[in-house]
Amino acid sequence: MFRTQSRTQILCAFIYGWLALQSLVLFFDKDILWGLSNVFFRFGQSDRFVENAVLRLYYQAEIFPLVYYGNIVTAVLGMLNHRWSFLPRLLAWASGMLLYSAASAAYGWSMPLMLNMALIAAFIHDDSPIHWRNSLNSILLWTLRLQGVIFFLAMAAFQWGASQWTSGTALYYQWHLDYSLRGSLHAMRELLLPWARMLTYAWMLYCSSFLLLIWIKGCRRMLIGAGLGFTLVYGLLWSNGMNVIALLALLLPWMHWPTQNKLERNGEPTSIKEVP
Amino acid sequence: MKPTSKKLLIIVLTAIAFMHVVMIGLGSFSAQLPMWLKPVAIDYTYPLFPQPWQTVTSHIPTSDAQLEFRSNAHGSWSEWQDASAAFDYNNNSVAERIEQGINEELRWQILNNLYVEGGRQQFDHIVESSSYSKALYYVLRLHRYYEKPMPDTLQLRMALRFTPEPENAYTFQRTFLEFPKYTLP
Repeated sequence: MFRTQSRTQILCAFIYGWLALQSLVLFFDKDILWGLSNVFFRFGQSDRFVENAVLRLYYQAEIFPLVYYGNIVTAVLGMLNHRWSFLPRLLAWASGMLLYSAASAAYGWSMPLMLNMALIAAFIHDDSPIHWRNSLNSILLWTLRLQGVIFFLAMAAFQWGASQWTSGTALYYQWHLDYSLRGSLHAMRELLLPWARMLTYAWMLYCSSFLLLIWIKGCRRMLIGAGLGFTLVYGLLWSNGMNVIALLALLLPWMHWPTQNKLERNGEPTSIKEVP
Repeated sequence: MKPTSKKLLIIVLTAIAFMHVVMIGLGSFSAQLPMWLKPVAIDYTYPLFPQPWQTVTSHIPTSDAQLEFRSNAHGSWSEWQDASAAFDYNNNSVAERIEQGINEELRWQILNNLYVEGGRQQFDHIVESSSYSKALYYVLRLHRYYEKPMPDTLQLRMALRFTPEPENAYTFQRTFLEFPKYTLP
């Protein structure tokens, strides 16, 4: 029962938990990011309806407590699996967009990725008694998977087109940027350098092979295992922990996921209610 | 719901999801798209579905840059200080990340808009840029936020530490580029 029902729930809880954690991580810096004392030099942006809506906090810092605390509360509520969960989830996504658009320089690449995933995951309702909702879950799950594939496709394509990556020096230069490497590793930077070329090529190989091998069921477990390995290594090296955690969001949708029909064929219970 | 309506609904939802995936895929490669397709992809992905993956793997700086400032109040200049460290932010802080974003823009300005005329470096194009305004604003706003006395004059500089190429001797060269003094109104 737990095995069949918890997968999509874990994915949604992970995505919205990540959004809440990201806002909490910025708690002590919130005034210089979004408050009236924010450090960003503001200037005019495109005057279209969508931009005006998304950049509301950018123009109007007075509303920041509502948006900031609203984002945390709705993201936490979005972690729950309820038929009305799409409401707090959509609010968490919208407030996350406002926060990101008003202070994008404070975030890493993971925030746009997780916002994209949050919008898709907003409509997932696991264990729904409505049959078409299960079909919708499958469609959304595949959309989440494809968002991850597009990420790896773009990474691989741009890596192959950049001389620093093809020559294996990308991480060598990255490690010499003080803000990029963990502060505790600065003193032992020279000891890490022999690993830079190997790790550069390993990550390139992983991004490129992910696109091809993830479709082969037999290779999936190996790819996910290697992805977890990269997450661990990056977690030890890089200063931006939220980027590292977000890597897991790319792997989660591919983890073993028995579909409703398959379970029914196997005679396994498909809903918590059916469990005797 | 009738089976026909259900099928239709699933087809429509699948089509929407498919279109979304295609559009964000195009948005990820917007710089490489033909001119007729580029605005379509950008209009769809910006600002609601940003796909900035090119910046993750783009050219990694071959020098570590720090923004520094010194201020003049009542006729005496302070020492040069790092723009974030002066306010107790460390190298891995959010403030440092913002500073690095400004540094990236200033780096572009230095590469493209710094020129020499009459044997002297000319900063007029740089000081007119929004990048320079962002840097000034950043330092002044932190002064105000931490309730430090506002200076009469402020000067910024970029401190660059060049990373040696992997096959060269492991020694670091440091250089500083001082921007003109800015007198507060």
